[in-house]
Amino acid sequence: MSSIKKLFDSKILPQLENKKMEMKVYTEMTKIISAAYSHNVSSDESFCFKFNLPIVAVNNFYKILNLDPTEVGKAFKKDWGQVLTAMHKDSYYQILLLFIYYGITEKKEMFAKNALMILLLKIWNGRKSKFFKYCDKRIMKYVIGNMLTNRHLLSKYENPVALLRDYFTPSILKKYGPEVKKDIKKLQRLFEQTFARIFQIFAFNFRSNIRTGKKEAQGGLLPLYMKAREDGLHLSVPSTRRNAGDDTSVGYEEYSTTHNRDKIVTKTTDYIILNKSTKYPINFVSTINRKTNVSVKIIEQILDYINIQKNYDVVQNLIVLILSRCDIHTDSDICSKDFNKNIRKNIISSKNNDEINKIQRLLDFILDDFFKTKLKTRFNKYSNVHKIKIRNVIIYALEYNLFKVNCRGGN
Amino acid sequence: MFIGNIDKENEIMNVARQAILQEKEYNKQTYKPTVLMEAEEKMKSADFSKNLYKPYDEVVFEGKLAIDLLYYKHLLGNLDESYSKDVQELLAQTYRNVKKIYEFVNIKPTIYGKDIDETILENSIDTVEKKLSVVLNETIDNLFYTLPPEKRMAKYSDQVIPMAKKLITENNDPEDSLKFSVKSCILEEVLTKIAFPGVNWLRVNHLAESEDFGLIFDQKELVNLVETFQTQVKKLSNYLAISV
Repeated sequence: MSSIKKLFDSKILPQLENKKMEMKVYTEMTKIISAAYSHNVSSDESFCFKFNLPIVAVNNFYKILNLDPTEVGKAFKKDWGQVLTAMHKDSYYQILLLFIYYGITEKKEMFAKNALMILLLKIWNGRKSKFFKYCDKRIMKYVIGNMLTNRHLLSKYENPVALLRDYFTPSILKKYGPEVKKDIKKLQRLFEQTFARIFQIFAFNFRSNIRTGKKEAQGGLLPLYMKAREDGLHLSVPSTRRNAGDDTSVGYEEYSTTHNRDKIVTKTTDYIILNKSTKYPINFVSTINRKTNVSVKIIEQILDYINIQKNYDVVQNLIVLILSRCDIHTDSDICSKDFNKNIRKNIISSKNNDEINKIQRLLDFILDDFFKTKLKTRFNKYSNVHKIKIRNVIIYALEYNLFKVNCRGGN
Repeated sequence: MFIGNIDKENEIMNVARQAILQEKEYNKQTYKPTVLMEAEEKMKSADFSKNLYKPYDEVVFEGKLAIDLLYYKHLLGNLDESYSKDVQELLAQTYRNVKKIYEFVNIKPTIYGKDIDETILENSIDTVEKKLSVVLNETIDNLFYTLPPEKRMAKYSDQVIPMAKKLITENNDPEDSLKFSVKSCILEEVLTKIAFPGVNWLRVNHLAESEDFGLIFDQKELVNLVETFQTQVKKLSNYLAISV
């Protein structure tokens, strides 16, 4: 009898047959997927995206089921043979493979899908890091938008999470599920095929380059990306850093700060929208008055208006664009003494670029509504030069809140 | 008795005022303008030139300031040295105020004179002064000398006559008082044109009176700045009228 099967039947199946335990594991998996989904959706990294791996949460499954990872590892080693890669030996994958097996054999489709999805997150991250250690989202977006046919898999899915969830998870389970159900040994095939399929997205059809003697992929994202990069082709998108495109000058660490930026965005937006009664200090209002010449009464009304719930998305997008435009990644960038200068240079005095145009459209969206509902007049009535001053009131307010929330903890 | 009559009159006036207000209110409530009338009303208040202006630019203002001061250098050529310090101080205050006005209304400063822009500063001082002198002479010609007497009268009498009268009552020579008043009025216009060329001055005045602008911006502050500028220009033109 297979060692894995033996372990499964003796230690896992009896526990998961307990509905409470099954629900607990299922809920934990759903939480992981939900976090990965929202993280990916709020990011604009395209297929350069890397997930925050739920290592702790997955290891926690061993604790929940009171399993020893070494014991599980031994069972896999016994069945799959001695010549295993680090990936085969990884306890992260092993527990998830057992959950997939449970889902398949017990006809718990969603259970199997969730486990496979979490397994795919790590495979995706590994392949992405191998082939694109430094990935420029602008080039990637160009590749996806211009170098792939409409029938290509990546053209059909917006981001990695959609690709993994909507394509790979169901198709892998459909193809390999039935044979796994018959024979647990086929789990290895499911696992390796899963890896191979993700690998193919990035690179396939390797051939030796006559000039360099190195093997180079002829298909997949990698050769297309390298070609676009060589030709200097990219889409202009909000940048996470200056000099985007110069991959060699940027450290990998910079990419991990996208997550920090998301945290700043959420924290600040929540603070602005949830604190409807926020009173801005008199000296702040008079500073805006001095800088914009907008009357104190109108400034106060605008400051009140941005706090309303229906502006949540607009305020959130504005903060995303401001942070991107000012190249802000961490709290310390906001708390630095150059923050004011940065906002002035890159937002208030900047014009005629995509990000600023977007910021302007979002500000106009809020102000159109404000003028209509609160002042019973039209924002459009005002000349462009005066609109600039009125828009700046909101920019100053967002700058104030960014500083207050991230440097003073909202006090 | 006298006081009693005033009270009675006030009472009657109050009743009459209330009646008029009620009638106005009634008319306002029952008045239904036609679409055409509404459109006409909106056209009157529409700001058609609103998008002609570019935003204020600090660098452009610095270029303008350099050239404007060269205009003043030419105009102040014959100024009595005893006034020099006062005029310099006043000039500095005036241009601080001009800058504030441009910033307030947020329009790009412009330089006075046909074909005059900041590139003129790349020429020699002599060339620049000659060019600016030509512009100033043409301006004064257009404002006064080329006008027929009746037009001069129509244009300046309202300002010149009261000013001259005041000077004469202060025991000044009538002919000198009149000449001084004419010069001062013309120079006031020239200085305003130098500071706010073309339609800029009209724009500033429009915004100082516009209801829409006043709804959002600190219009009182703008009115103060404009009034201060007018006073400063008046003083400057008086100094210049002595020396020109």
